[in-house]
Amino acid sequence: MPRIACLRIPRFQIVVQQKHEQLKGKALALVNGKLTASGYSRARIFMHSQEADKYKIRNNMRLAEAKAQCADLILREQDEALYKIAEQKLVSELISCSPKVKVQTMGITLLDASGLTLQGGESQFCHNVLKLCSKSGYTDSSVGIANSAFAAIVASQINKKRFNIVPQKEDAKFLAPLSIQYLELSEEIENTLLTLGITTLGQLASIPVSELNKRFSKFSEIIWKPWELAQGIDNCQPTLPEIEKIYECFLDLGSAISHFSEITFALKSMLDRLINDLKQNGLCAQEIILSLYNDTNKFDERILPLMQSTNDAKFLLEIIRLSINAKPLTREPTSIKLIISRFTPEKWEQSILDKDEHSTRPTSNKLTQTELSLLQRFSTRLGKNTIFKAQASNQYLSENAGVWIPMTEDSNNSLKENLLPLDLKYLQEKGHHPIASDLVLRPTLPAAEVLVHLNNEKPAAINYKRRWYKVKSITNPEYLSCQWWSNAVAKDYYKIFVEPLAGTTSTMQNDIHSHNINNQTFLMLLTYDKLKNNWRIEGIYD
Amino acid sequence: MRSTSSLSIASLPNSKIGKLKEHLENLFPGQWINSNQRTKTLSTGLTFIDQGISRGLARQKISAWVGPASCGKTSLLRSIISRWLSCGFEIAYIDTQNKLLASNWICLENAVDKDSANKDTNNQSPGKFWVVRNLPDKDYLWATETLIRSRIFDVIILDLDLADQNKQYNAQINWQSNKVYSRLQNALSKSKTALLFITNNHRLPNAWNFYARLDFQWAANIQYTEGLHGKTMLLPTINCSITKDGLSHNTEVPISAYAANRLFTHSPIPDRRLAKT
Repeated sequence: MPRIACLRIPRFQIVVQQKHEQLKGKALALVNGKLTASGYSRARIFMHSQEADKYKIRNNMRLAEAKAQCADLILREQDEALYKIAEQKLVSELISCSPKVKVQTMGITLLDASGLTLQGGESQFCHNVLKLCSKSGYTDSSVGIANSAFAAIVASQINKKRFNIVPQKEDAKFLAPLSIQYLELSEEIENTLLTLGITTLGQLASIPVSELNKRFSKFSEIIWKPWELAQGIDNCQPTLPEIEKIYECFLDLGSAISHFSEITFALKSMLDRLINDLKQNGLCAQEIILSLYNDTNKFDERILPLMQSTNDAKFLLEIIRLSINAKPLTREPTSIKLIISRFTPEKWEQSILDKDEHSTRPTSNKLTQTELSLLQRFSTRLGKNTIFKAQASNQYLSENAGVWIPMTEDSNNSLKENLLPLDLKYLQEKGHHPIASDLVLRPTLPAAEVLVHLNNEKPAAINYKRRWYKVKSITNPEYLSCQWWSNAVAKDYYKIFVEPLAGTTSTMQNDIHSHNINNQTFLMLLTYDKLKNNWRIEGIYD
Repeated sequence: MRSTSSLSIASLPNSKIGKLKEHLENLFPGQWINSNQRTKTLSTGLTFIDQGISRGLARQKISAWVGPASCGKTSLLRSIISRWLSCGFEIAYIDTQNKLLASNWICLENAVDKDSANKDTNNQSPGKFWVVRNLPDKDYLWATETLIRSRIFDVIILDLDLADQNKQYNAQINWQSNKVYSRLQNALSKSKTALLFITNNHRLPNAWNFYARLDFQWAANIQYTEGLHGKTMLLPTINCSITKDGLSHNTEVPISAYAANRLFTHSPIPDRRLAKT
């Protein structure tokens, strides 16, 4: 009898996403649809992290409900490619434990656990698998071993043990007392079975074949498979994993190279070769990894994600050059390794020939090729968060009423923790124009505390950066009190037009120059915090 | 009896409509501009800039806006940017001081939607407004040059604080040098971009040959917007001095702003009864 092990990694996609974006310990949820910047779409929560559980986030919850439960909940769309890569990486590591590894579904992997008597037994095998998983960051995994794949899968999720071993030829006995819910039947069949009083797998397995055909003639084909599973019969077996083609190139330079220009030619030829290989298979590069070695010691590795998949070797070379310019090499490389770590099928677009002469610009917010190329250059050299667009956010305080959204982020993934998007369409339909009003404010960060001279309970003069300013003109205060449920705010907002007070020049001339203050007039935003009882200059209007 | 004659524009050929628009643009600057038309200068919609000695903002040239902190130059610039965006121009703003508030720069492309002239004539989508922030000090020049060379943007605004001696970039990039000017000018000559240099200090690079220089300062007279219980908004007038090719022209620019409404971002509660009735 074969022995099959099942490795279960609960919330596999969440763990991979948390590892990828360094979101460990944060409330994260994946959605089963598209996230749009304009507002919450019809997408629902597909899977959530353990941290999100504390806020009573549940699967299949609406996004608005989830955000109401946990304002800091981080939402992400599912990245199937990312999970696939993580899965393949895990499989390649599990081969060291067992030669036959097969991914059943995302987070459930079957391994061949036969013939382990001379290798420490099945318990040792479970320990080895779990140790390997922990090393890879999947700390919450569990293992089940049985004769059939189904029994092993069930064994890996019961009793909350790290591993569960079903004795030889006792699959049916093990499954018998368990609920039929493990079969994951359709609602109709499950209800039928429950109506007949069949609640356990043992009861289902004990039905004779003739009786089964007679009673379930309607579902004869559908019920046969669950009946076999309840008996402990499952034809599913782990197989030898398919070898994925790896697109990588290694070049020994022969001697240490001190300047990047000396390896440009080598990199170009490596890229040409890899790109030709990709083209032959109808693929496009999406991420490249450049590893640099000094003798056998790898001293630098750069992961260069591409904003749009490309097969242009010249462009890829420029990306590598930008990366090296931004972060010069610390040592002299003697060999280089180039890997195309992510790739997608090549896309072909049909060009529109009868284009209207006036519509030269794409009407959607989709980025053009030139814009993507520019963003790629900025992203490679300066990091992801350099080019932004302003996005309206439905917050109470004016300073939070807008958020800078990086252009390099996928616009679909722009729903961030603190962004509460506005329904601009709805506002426009109602005749509201969310246009930035007032003068442009340049905030002073952090807000500068000032001494205020009051006259009839209104500011008449302020001492800002060791200098007295006379308030020439002042508006009536705008009072804002909000967020009593989290960080309470109660402030009076004044706009003041000030000029330096005659005869009270600063004693420190150097200080004036260093803060760029001279005898000019200022239009400032003065606030009085009622809770903290202090006056502050929050910014200067420019 | 009064006889009236009407002219149907629809029957005119495209070339004539174009000429008519150009003529109207001269009469009403900023109302008929179109991003698809390649003009040497960009109209701002402000008469004193468009019809004065500077004739708008020149493409392939560097212009300078100079004024101390709090002199109204950014507010004035924002109103021009909103007009450009609604006309379909692409704009990049390099915020070296990271001091722009996102709430001040949202939905700019809709700002002049009420302007029926633009809405009806320019049948095109609004332009994009990108803000470059969080730049390392040494990369200001690289970022500006790369943005110019991308040939995407009609206007690039470089907001630089030359007054701050403590800043690293003064040491790393010598903005006074001819090399920097040559690099930027060389990149500009192969693009359609107009580079606008904004600084809060009068110590501009001497060697640079600016197309035009505008100096700003608050004027003494202040306008108020009266609310129910007193002043709700201060709107000081801006004094602007334009210098070009040795000529100079001084003018006062009044600012008109929308009434301040802090809670504009809150969508009203939908009245579902209306839908049913």
